[in-house]
Amino acid sequence: MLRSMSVALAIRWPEAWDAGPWSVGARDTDVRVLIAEDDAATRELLERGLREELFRVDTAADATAAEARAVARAYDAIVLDVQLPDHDGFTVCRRLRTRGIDTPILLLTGRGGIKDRVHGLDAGADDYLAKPFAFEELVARLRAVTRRGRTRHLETVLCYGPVELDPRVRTVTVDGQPVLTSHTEFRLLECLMRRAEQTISRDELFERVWDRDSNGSNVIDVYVSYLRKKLGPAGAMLRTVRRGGYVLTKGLAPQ
Amino acid sequence: MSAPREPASHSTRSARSGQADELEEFAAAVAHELRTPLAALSGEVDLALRRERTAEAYRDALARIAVSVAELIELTGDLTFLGQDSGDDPLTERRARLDRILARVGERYASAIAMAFEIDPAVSDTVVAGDEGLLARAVTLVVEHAVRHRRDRARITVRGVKLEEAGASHVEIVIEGGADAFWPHTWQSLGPPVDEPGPAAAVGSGPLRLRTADRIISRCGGTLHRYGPDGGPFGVHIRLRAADQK
Repeated sequence: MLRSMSVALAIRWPEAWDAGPWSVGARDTDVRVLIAEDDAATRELLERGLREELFRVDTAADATAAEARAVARAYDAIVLDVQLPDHDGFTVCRRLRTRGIDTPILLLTGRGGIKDRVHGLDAGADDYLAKPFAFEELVARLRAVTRRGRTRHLETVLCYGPVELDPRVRTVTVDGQPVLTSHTEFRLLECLMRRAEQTISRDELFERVWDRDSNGSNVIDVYVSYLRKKLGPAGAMLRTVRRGGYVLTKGLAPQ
Repeated sequence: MSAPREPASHSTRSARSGQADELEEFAAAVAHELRTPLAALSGEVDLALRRERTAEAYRDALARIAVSVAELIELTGDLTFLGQDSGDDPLTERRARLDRILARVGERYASAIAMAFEIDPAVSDTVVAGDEGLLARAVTLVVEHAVRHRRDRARITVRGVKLEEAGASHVEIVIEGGADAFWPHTWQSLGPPVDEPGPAAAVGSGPLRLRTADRIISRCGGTLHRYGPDGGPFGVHIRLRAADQK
């Protein structure tokens, strides 16, 4: 196994952040968020924006679907619109808490009065944001409500060899030079960097990057080839493992 | 020297308090309706400026922004209409073609999933009392409310039918889904079926879309009612007065 200190994946913690030791790949670092919003434009916007910020996103257009999803799957946070067509968000919040679901809930509302905010927080919500809101603020609040759990990776800059990837601002550099990547390329590279020197199967990459099964598609090979080109000479670190998947390594790919 | 002010009577105070509550409720409904497209608009701008994007991505963002802007323009038009004195312009004297009203609405929802538009051939060239643009807006508002409150993309049908009753000729635009198409309280703020006894419509306290639609329809001499077994949420009838054919 080609693993040495010189090629180990480095994680740079923000100075102000008092983080404990944490090894890459030791935990599932994906943050999964459920968005419950009835307005299609806002729902689609939140989904797109949060995916760009590397959240994994599920959506629901009404309270009934939101509650069913929140019970069926463990989310790191729920963004819950107050005004849903079947029940209001306060009711959903109370019902989830009654059922023992303690997922952090961020309420979104078109009404930002004190009474509404108090009502929401009393119903068991963790935070409250009035529409219209700055997207940056939503992301910051989501980070805050999920901080106690699995969102530490959002605060880290990943470095491997000359490649540096910053999930907070979604940038990639090679030897300090910026490289423009698509959303998919970015997620693929991040996935490989988080588990550098470990082979990741095609199926797992599909699940993590495309959020679906591969079904024999060769789209992954296409995106790996895009990434290799964009990374220049550093792209050679992205190696194919025969019948295995892909690995990011400075050494040879395992056979 | 001015006369001492009479203390307001209990009924006057009660009426004022009622008006204040109504105004507060109306302002809250307007704020909610404004904030929804504004949230989409500001979110699109935020996302577009967040990082470098391709020209195509910017074009897509602008197209989505245009949709929210159009929604806001329509909303300000609705508010202007709601603020107008109803005596200024008797809309009942204007004339509108039913098929054109339905065509306008149909055009807007041409790409919508599970939506059907049916016009009874008997009403295709029917002329009704009212302003065509405003009536099309009213029907659009009701359809939009139906779309936003249907369950699991349930099928919605918009039909134009002719009625003959008590010597007066009416046409109806029926916007309906199946028994489980809508959430139970979807049409709650509307009055009961037109032929059934029950409390008067309380559209004044309902969602802004329905109150605007109701105001347009009533100023055009028509009515807006929910229908369904036991007042259930099957859909709504928009009843319009047929006018002389032109």
